[in-house]
Amino acid sequence: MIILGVIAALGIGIVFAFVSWLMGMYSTTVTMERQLNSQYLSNQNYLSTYISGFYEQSGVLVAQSDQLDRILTDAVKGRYDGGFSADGALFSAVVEAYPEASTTALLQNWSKIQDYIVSQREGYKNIQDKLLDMLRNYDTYRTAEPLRAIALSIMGFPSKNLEARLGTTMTTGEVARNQMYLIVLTKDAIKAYESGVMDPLKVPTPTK
Amino acid sequence: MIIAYILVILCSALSGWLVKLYLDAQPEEQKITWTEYIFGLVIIVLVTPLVMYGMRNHFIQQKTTFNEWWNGWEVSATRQTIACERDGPCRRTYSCDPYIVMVQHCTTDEDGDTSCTTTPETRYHSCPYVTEEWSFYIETTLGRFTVSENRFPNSPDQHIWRSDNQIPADVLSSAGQGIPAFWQEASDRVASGNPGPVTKRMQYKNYILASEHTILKQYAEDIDAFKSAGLLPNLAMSTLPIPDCQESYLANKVYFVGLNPQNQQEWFDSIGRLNAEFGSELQGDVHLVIADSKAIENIDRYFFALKAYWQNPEAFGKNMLSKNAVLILVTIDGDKVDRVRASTGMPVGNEAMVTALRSRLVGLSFDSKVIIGTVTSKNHSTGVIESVLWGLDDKSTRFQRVCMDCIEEGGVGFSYLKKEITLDNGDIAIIAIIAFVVSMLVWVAFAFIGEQYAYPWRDSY
Repeated sequence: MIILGVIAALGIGIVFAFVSWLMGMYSTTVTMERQLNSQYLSNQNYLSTYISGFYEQSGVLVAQSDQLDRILTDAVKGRYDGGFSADGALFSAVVEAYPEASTTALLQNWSKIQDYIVSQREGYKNIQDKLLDMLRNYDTYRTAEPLRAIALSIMGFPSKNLEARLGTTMTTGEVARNQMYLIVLTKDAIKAYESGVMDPLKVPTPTK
Repeated sequence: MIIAYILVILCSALSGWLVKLYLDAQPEEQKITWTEYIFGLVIIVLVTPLVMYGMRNHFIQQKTTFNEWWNGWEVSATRQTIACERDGPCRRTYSCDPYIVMVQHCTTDEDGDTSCTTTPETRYHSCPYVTEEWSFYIETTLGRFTVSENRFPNSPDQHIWRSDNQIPADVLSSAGQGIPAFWQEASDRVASGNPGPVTKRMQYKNYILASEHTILKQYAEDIDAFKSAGLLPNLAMSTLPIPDCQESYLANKVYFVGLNPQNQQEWFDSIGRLNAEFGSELQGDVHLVIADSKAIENIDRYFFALKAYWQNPEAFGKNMLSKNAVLILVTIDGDKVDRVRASTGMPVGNEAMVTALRSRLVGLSFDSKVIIGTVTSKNHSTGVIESVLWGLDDKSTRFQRVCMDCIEEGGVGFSYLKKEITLDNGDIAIIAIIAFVVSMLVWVAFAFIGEQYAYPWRDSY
C-alpha cells in the first residue's frame, strides 16, 4: 500500500512534468513560427518600401517601370558591387530606364540617392541576417536536444503555422522553412559558390 | 533543468524518508506518518517546478540585464538647510545629557518558569554640534544627484549649538563645511542659462548580448593584435568629479588613438553637450573614436575589432557597448577627416544615419565645432554629427532607438533569443539547492503540525 502510494506520487510528478514539458515546447515552437512568418513578410515589405522611397528621394514623379524596379532591387541586393557614383554602372542603368525628362533631377539628387541605396542595402542585409538568426534559433530549438527533436517531430513541426507568403501564393511547413532560407544572392555570388572560384572585383565602367 | 528537477524530487523523497525513520526512532511527539509522507511527496512534486521556474526566470532576468549610459542636462542646483535640535534630524551629533531609565530583563529557566528583574541604565540624548547643517543637490533631467549632505555651515565655530562643546577635528574634516565648489560651479552654469551635461548608468534588457549563439553579434579575429599594439581604447568608464559621490556624473566619450591633441577637453565638453541633448531627446549615446590615419591601415578590420572588443563581456562585463550607443570612428590625415566608419550598438536599424555619417564626415577639418557641433539645451548648431543624428537636413537619418521586445512598437524584436539563453551549471545548482530547501520545509511542517496532532490517538503506521 505504502509502496503503491509512493509510486503513485512519483507517477503524478512524472506525468505532470511530461505534460508541462510537451505544452511548453508546443507553445514555444508555435510562437517561433509566428515570429518567422512576420519577419519574412517584414523583409519583403522592406524591399517594397525601398523602391517607393527611391522615387521620393529622386524627386521624380512616379514614371515607374518594371525595368527600373528591377534595377533598384538588384542594387539593394548587391548587384552593383562596384559603387554607386554618378559615373558608375548603376547610374547609367537608372538613366536608361528613366524617362529623358527625369535625368536632370536624378543628377541633382544623385549623392542623396547614393546614400539612400547604400543604407537600404545595408538595412536589407541586416534584416536578412536577422531572419537567418531566427531560423537558426528555430532549428536549434527543434533539433539540438534528442528528446525534444523526437517529440516535436511527432507533433509535426515545422507545422502548418509556419507560412511563407509570396504575393498570393503561400507555402507551409518544411517547404516554407526552405523558402525562408532562400537568401537572395547575386549571380556572381551563386557562380562563385558553384564553381568554388571568384574573379577579382572589377571597378564598374559607365555604359553608353 | 529537467534533470535537476528529477534529482531534487529524488533527494527530497529520500530525505523525507530518512527524516521519518529518524523521528520514528526518537521519543519526541514529532512524527511523519506514511500518509503524510505520500501527501508531502505529492506537494513537493507539484510545488518544486514552480519554485524552479521562478528562480530560473530570476537568473535569466539577471543575465539579460545590462547597463547603458543615459544622458541629460543640469536643471537646477538646490540647497537644503536643516535646523538642528537635540534628538533632531541632524547627522553630526555627539552623546549628551545622560538620563536614567529602568529596564526590565526576563529569563526563563529549564522548567519554563520566567522571572524578571528591573535595573537602572544610563542612556544619552543626541546633541548636534552646530545649529544647522547644509545639504547640496543638483537636479537634472536624469533625476537628483547628491553633491554633499549634512555639511557644516561656513565658520562652524560661529554656529555652535552648545557653546561648551567644540567640534572635533576629525568630525570637521569628514563633514566638510561651506558650499562645495562643484555645486557652486553647477549653480553658476544653470544661473547663466548654460547648464552642463550629466550622464548616468541605467539598466536595460539586451537579449543579443546575453545570447551565446546568435549570429548577430560582432566577432573579430584581430582584437588581440590591435590591443597589443595599443590601438584599442577602453570603453568609457565613470568619472567622478563630485567628491565622495558614488554616482557617475560625467564620462569621457571621445577616444584618441595615436593622437594627443592639446584641446582634448574641448572635445570632451562638445561630446558631453551633444550627448546631453541626444540622450534627452532621442535616448542615444555617442562614442567618438578619433584615430591617426597612419596608425590604422585597414579601417574595416580595426572597426570590427573595436566594436567586438567593446561588446566583449570578459572585458567590460555588464557595461558593454549598449543598445542605445552610436559608435563613430574617424581617422585624421593632417588636419582633415579622411575615413569614417559608424555603427550602432544594435545589429539592425539606423542604416540611413550610419551611411550619412560615413559620407558626410569625410573631408571635414579636425575641429570639434565642425564635426560634433556646439549643442546647448536650447539650440542646435551646425555640427555634422548633430545634424545627422537629429535628421536636421534629412529626416531619414534621425536616430531611432531600436526596441528589444517590441511589445508596444509591434514587430518581432529579439525576444526569440530569450529561449536559448542558458544558465550555467552554478546557477542550476543554486536553483536546485533552493528548491530542495523549500521541499524540506514540507517535511518540517508535517513533523510539527501533522496527523498525530489531529488524531492523537493514532500511532504512526
